[in-house]
Order: sequence, then structure tokens, then C-alpha cells
Amino acid sequence: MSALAALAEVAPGILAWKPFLQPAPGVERWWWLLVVPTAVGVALAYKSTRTRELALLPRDVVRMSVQIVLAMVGIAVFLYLLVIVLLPRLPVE
Amino acid sequence: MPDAPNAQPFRPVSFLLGWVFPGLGHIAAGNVRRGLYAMAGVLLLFVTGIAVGGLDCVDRNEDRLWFIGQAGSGPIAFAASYANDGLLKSGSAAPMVEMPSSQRGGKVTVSAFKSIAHANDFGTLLVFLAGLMNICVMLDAGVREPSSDAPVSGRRVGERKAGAA
Repeated sequence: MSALAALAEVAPGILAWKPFLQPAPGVERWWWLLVVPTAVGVALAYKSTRTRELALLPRDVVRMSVQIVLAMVGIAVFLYLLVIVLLPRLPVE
Repeated sequence: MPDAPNAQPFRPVSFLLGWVFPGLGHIAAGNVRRGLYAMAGVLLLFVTGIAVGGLDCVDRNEDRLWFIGQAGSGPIAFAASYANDGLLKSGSAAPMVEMPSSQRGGKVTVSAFKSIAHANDFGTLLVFLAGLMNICVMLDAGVREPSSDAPVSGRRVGERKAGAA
């Protein structure tokens, strides 16, 4: 299977996609991956204003990006345990 | 507790240039590298948002509250909104399709490229975040000392100047 065919399997319609005009295809399957560019973008913009020594900027951006992603994962795990595991075990009455 | 930063006079020109294009306020003040990094961060959010949600996720008429934050990115947000009007809502980029039903009654048509669900949610949010982060960058450009990007020589990073309080 070619790489394009594999890509089309993950995101149907990607071969006909017109970037920036129409929405990206198959976002409902991989929306959770968007936490990565979101974290990197926020960290890059924020740290560019807060880091005193620009030589340390890449390290600071990576550190903050990882912190954001881990925090999001932690919140997701907490909410999963709360809503899917804990709350159904509570007595109804 | 860290030292209080030296008070700098507010520079409205740098602040406004930061709105004209992300990072331009820093670049115009001589902080070129810092401006380029800030530009990269804001544009990463903005371009990713438009790529995920399409032009429809910037709409100054239908999503006015979101657009207030998105407008922090500057003219590029307005350009995206006008492009949405000219390309999508006019039907020139994709055919208009009729919505199955409308609460208002009557026939409602939208572009076949209109984004919905996750794509619209995340596209709108990413462009909104770009606007908010650019406001932070603009404020920093307004108070940052010009040409202050050069590395501090003769001492290690984080070390205070000799004799500094």
C-alpha cells in the first residue's frame, strides 16, 4: 500500500483537500493531536517575551510545551477516571 | 523572588506595529531575533488554525465574539475574514448547498466548504489563541528596551551584574 493510500485511509478525502479553503479531512479522528502544535505555538510566543537569554529559548520552549501536553494528558486521565470509573459506581439513591 | 524589571516607558509605536504584523514591534525596535521567534509562535497558531478549520473559522459576522479575540492577530485576521466572505460565502470557491432545515424558516444556503464540528472548533480556537498570544507579544514590545537582544557578555546566564543590588 502506498503512503498516499495509507494517508487516505486515515483521513478520507485528503487527496481532494484544498488546504486553507476547506476544513482538514478526518479531524474527528485525530483532533487530539492538535494539542501538540497548540502547546508549541503558545510556548514559543510566550517564551519569546519572557526568556532573558534567547540562547535558552529552544530549551524553554520544549520544556513549556512538554509541561502543557502533560498537563492536558493529566486532566484527561483525571476526567476519564472521574466520569467513566468513579461516578458510575456511586449509589443512585 | 526575582528582581523587579527596570521600568521602561511605554512605546505605543512598537505596540501598534506588533498589531500590524506579529513580531513587527520587536523587529522595529531592534529586537529582531525576539520578534522573529514571537512571529513564528503566533503564525504557527494562526496558520494551523486556518489549515484545520479552513477560512470559515474566521468570521467577523457569524462568530463575532470569537473574532474579537482573533482580531488580536492584526490585519491577517481581517484578511482571512474578508477572504471567507469573498471565496466561501460568495460561492466562488465551492458550490452553495441548501441546509436541510432552518429554525428561521425559509431557505438557507451555505458553502460546501463550511467547517463544522471538530474542525471548526479547533480552527476557531487556534486562531483565537493566536490573537491572544499576539496581544501578549504586543504588550511586551511596548515595554521592552530597544535593541536589548544581545547576549549578556562576560557573565553566565542568570548571573547578576557585578555590584547589582
